[in-house]
Amino acid sequence: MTSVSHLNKIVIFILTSIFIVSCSSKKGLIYSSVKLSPNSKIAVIIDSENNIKNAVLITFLKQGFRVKAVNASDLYTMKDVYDISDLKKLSYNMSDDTVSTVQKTYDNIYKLHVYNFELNKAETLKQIRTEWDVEYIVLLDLKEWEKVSWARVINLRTFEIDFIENYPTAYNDNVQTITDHFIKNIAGK
Amino acid sequence: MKCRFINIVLSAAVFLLTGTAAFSESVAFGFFINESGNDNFNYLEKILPNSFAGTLKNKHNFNIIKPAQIPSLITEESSFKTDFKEGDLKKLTENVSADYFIYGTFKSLDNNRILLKVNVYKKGTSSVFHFEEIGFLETEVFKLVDNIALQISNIASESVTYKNEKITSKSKLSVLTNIEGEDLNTLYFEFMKDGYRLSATQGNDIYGLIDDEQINKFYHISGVNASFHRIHDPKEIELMYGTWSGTDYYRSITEQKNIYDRLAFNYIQTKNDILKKFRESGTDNSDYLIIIGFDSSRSNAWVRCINFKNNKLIITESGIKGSSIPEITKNVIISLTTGLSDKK
Repeated sequence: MTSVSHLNKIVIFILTSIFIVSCSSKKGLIYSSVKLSPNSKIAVIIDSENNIKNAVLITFLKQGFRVKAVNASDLYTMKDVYDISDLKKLSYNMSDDTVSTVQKTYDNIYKLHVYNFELNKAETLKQIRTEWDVEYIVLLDLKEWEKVSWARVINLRTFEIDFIENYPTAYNDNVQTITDHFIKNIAGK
Repeated sequence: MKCRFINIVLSAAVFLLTGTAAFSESVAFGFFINESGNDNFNYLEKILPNSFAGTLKNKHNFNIIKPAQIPSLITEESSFKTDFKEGDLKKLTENVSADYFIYGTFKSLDNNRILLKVNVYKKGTSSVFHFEEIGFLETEVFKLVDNIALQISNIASESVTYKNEKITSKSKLSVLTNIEGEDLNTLYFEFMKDGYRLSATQGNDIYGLIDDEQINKFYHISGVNASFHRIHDPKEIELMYGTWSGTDYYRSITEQKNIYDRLAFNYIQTKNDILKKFRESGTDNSDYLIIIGFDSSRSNAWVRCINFKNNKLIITESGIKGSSIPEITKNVIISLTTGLSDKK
């Protein structure tokens, strides 16, 4: 009886430890260098089903934000920036890919494409600012319970990140409550 | 009790001493070639490597081999072989019993200054670390030798650490890395709470572009003053043509030649052009490009830093450890904000 009792205690201790560790690994964090005024012109980027997108956008609109319609899923398209002609030429003509110079060339092509991709995104953001008169981009990723939802705000005037938050989604959270939570912190309400 | 204490102290001393011995790297030196066009400086061809070797041995505990002790550097006419290329390094160092081979060039400049170009080759690899230093010949020659020996001692280590500048506080950073979403936020958090401004580079996307394998393509990196690069040799690329080749074929190999020129042999120019645009892509220019590569277990990372203002490679360090992304990031920030230390 005593050994069973000890065993139970050990099992409970292990389970509690696992629970504490799993909880502590999903810590929230927040950093804000500016508070957005409620009438700021924002574009919200979120990769979700349309009904969830709408729920998020409506929550921002209700708080007074001037939300611009930006379709997140095709904001940055890789086909526009990945010029693969160099890769194609090399793969047609070089058979020995163990040659150091060829490997170096492949690596450098990849690096240039990353730089080009970032350049193109920056150009897109500039367009969003100048043509659509957007002041801030709000990126949201909403996750279910036991995962971490996160938000990021980019100031399109300075092209700097003004706000970040990781928020461990609670058991009773939904799209509305998570969005409300982020808006509260972004606007400093 | 007293005996036990002495025992512990002695054991620790033995451990530390054996540990030091086990970590002693060995370095072989080639000659430093005079590129000044002035024979009056020829005496430095031997003096410079011998000075670096002496400092590395005495101050940094390296085992050293001087140029005259390397048979493959001596020609049949008993003169010294100086005209080897990076592509010859593997063969040249085959019978040299050292972990690293160091060689270079120097050039006298105005106002009694000297430009030194140093190459550090880890035996058996396909990579070379190249860096340049400028100093005064007479007044500060010892300081210059000490600086270069310190750089070599850090590069000739597992972490391949190179530093010639620290990032300034409150500066604006463009970060490229292989983490995304909430993890990227935790990385940003560590920089932001230390007062750095972060460009929206990469952070303007919900998903990351670079995965754990792709980030390693940035492991080798070049700046105008230094580079950690793969050895490349134009001889490897044979683009044969002759009277038998037609116009179309000639056009095709010319195109290929241009690709190799742009992306391998003159890559630094190609990259500098794009980095200029990259830097100016925001409305407020970034000061530094920082590339951080995490391993798949997120327990180890490497960092590379380029100063956007002059396209200089200013920091490289690998093997930065931590138990989490925030801890590793804190250590990356320490690496970016502190100077070189004597690793021995």
